Amino acid sequence: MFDIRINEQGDVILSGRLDASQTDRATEILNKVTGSVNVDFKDLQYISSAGLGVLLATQKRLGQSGNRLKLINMAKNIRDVFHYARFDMIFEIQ
Amino acid sequence: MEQFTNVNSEIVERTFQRSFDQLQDVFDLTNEFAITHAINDKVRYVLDLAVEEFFTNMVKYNPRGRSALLVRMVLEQKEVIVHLVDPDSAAFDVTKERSVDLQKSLDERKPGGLGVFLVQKLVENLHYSHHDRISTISFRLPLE
Repeated sequence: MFDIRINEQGDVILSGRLDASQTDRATEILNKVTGSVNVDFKDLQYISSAGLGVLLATQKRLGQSGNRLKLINMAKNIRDVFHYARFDMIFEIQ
Repeated sequence: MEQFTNVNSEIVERTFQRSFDQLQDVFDLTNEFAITHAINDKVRYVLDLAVEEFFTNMVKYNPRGRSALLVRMVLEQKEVIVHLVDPDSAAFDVTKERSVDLQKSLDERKPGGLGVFLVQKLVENLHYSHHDRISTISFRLPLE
């Protein structure tokens, strides 16, 4: 079960599993983001390359206006995936 | 190929239609296998990731194949052996080095090819065979 929402502070909250069948839903919400925001991974259990692609597209779009995503509260398994993909070089991860 | 499921204490296998909508059913199978054999979260993550990346590649790049796709997991001593079979496909060797340039800048980077690249980094003994239009991908995951 995957969920994505924007909280009152404007941060993006992810939970569950972001796999290839959930990218349309993730894209729909992330397309509403227009400035630099935190993306909270605390309750995200799984992400595949399809999910990485959605985040990359958002980062590219925001970068055109000088904004960016900051990824926070990432579990080790997910951090390892970002590392192997070298996405830790293009996202700020806390 | 008709859908079927074969479950015993060491082997689980099932066929799936060529659709992204089948992905949750694929995960249900890997989850059942992981619970049955008390596979830890780290190994389970890699199992799910590898199966998803190969399954979605088979769907994406061969949507008109005439047969269902097979996922089989075998517990053998201290490792899991995974097979994904496309019985009607052109050759696509997933063991070949992917052209993912990790040094490219953000503007130059695209997600295509990243899935197979990731799996190559995470699994051991990745094998590919193609005979009579049957593609078989196999890999092993040690149970720590």
